[in-house]
Amino acid sequence: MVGGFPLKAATVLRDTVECNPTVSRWLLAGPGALTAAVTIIAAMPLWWPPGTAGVDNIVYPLLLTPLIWSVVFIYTCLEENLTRGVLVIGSATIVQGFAAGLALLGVIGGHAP
Amino acid sequence: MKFLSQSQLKRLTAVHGWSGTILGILLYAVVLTGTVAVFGHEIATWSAGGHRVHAPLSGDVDGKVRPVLDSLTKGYLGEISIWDDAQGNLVMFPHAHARNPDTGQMDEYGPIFRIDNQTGDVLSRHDGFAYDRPDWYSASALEEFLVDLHAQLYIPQPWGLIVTGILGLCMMVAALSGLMMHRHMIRDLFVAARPGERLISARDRHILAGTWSLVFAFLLGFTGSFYSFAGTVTFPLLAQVAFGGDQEALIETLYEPKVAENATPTPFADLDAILAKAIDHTPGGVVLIDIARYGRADARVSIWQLPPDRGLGYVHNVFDGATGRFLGSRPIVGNTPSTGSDIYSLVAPLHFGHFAGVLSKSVWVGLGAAMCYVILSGMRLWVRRREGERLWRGFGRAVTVTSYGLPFAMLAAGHGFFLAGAQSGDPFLWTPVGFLIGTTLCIALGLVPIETDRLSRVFRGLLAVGCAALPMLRLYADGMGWLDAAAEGQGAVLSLDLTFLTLAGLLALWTLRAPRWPTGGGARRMTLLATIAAVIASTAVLALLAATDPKRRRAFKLTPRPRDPWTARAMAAGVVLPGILLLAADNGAAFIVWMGAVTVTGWVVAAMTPQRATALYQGATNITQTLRTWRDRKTETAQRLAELEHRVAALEAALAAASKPKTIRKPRPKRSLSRDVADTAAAADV
Repeated sequence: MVGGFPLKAATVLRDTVECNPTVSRWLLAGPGALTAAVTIIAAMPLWWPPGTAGVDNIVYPLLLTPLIWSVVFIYTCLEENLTRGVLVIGSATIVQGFAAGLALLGVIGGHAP
Repeated sequence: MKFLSQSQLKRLTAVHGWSGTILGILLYAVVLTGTVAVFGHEIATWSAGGHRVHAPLSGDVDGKVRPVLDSLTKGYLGEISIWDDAQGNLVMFPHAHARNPDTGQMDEYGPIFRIDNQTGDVLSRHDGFAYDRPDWYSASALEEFLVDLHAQLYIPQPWGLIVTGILGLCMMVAALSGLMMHRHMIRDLFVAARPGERLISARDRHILAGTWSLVFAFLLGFTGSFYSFAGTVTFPLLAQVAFGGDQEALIETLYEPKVAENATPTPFADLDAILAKAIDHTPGGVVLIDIARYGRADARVSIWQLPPDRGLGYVHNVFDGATGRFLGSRPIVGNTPSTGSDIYSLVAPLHFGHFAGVLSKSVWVGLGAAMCYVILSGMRLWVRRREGERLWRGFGRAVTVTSYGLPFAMLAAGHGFFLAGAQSGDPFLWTPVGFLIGTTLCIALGLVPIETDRLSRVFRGLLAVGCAALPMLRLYADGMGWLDAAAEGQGAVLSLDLTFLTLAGLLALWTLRAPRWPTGGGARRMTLLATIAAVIASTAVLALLAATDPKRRRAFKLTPRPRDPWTARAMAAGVVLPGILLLAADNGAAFIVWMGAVTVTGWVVAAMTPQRATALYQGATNITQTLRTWRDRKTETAQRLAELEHRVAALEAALAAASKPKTIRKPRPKRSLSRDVADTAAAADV
């Protein structure tokens, strides 16, 4: 059946989240928000424009670290649809974490801005 | 905010309350120590006890540092930092980089010198990882201790910085959640708290103070957590991703000017001439000199200067170290201007508040004090809602002990510092010991089973004594006398001594004053009226200050009007006086409103040109005239109406008397009816 596994996985995720809403929100707002913020900051030098001075892709993640975590955290607190929250934060973490992982291994990105 | 649902509001309230409660005490410690550390430089000058005027890095610097540098091996000449300490002596640190066995990190290693700024004699030399040993380079253990307590709560690196970073995030979240939870923020901005000791009054006071300091709380939390996480987490992480883990390469890219390597030995240029050029180019005082590759053809000199007028960030001027040629002003990060660098350069002034000298620092201290009030009132509010539970009652006691105990322990640290100085002890040991003794005493007092109000009064008394004793101890420890300080232009010595004595007086008044809270609407009106009166009084004096300011009059080409400096000082005191009176009246919320309102009105007064002020005055006069005319007309009409009504009433009375039936007989005067009517009408006419 086409699309069977993703649908089933989404259903399982939704059931798990909806059965334990409090624990899910705590995990999402605590370790979830922290991991998402760290991966976003780590991957920012790869996609943020370096600017005229060639340092913006380093300076902005350095500066915006507190703000990024705060935005992610507040989002996890305010999101009414917890399953959607898990999907948004999870996707952001996976995509950014993958990019940062490749950069750490030297597959993408130069070793200078 | 109105767009939030009930469940979202409930979650935000829980986040706001629990984050503030769990980390509130530590947050209070960080904010209070930070508020004091804003004047860290002045505290250093005040406590260092030097009898020399604190001069910036200028004049004959070359003649003092060159002989020392020429005597060193080349290995230490790659990087040299020169600054001045609180006693006005030069501190020079030529260094290389080596792995620090204590931290496992690459740190600066080399000899650090303290050089007499007048004679050029080397006062001390120590070799090692100098930044680990503040006693090698700092003249004031008290300043070091306060800054360390603020930045990392005296917890070893990197954990202290991580803890304070988390506290910064907590403050940001508390500010953001408070902003979102409050539905009528703008409308309630000037609504005075309901008086009394009820729960709703405590909530009002917390919200009022929180609303006024919201932006500041966010900024402080943001910049504070940036400083905490930048070195410990973000920097290594970004170096790993973008530079393969090479932090030195990242530092060079961000902070060091690009140079074509040339190791040819070349005599170093005249440092005094370079300093003179830097001061000519940028009028701010020099705070740091960095020399790279001393004695080589590719040597560079970085001069860091205080922001000039209207500037916010430090200025970084770069010179060729071989020829002394000015190479230009460099952004704080990168080699060419960028938005990233512009934003980066705002972080320091926004966090430290040092961009406009004592004035901006004073505002930062005031806002920091407001933040302390918000944190404490929030924790007390939380406790009051749960007074029935023993655990929360205990927490409330801990809040009281911390709120008074921390400032007392900081005073005790100062006492330890001065006593060590008087007894030739080590101030870097006795300052933290003094703090520990103060803390222990306060905790012990907190354990004594007396009611909280009484305990608070005891603490206030202790604080008063501690404040009063500090200037005396400073003088006892061979500190600079007031006459010497005035003669040598050491404003910090006089100002801080007077501040402590004033604080002692106010605290003593507060302690002796019987606790009383006004109740009822009348008292609330009084609070509001007192606040408005204080704001009007301060604004009026501010306007007077602006109108008589010589520079302002020159700038706007008005007739010069000489002003006595003492008049200006008296007027400045007049601006502050209403706020002090509000504080003395135990009206914390009104004080905070006054502080915020005066900031705004002061800014408006300063920004208004005399032409605009005249136009405004004309407009106000016209409006007043119109209102007066309208009022006069209204009064005249009312008078005429009253007269007519009176006449009508008299006539009606006369008519009623004339048409009275004659069936009821009763004695009457021997006067005719027509005579009666005529008399009544005459009386009405009169």
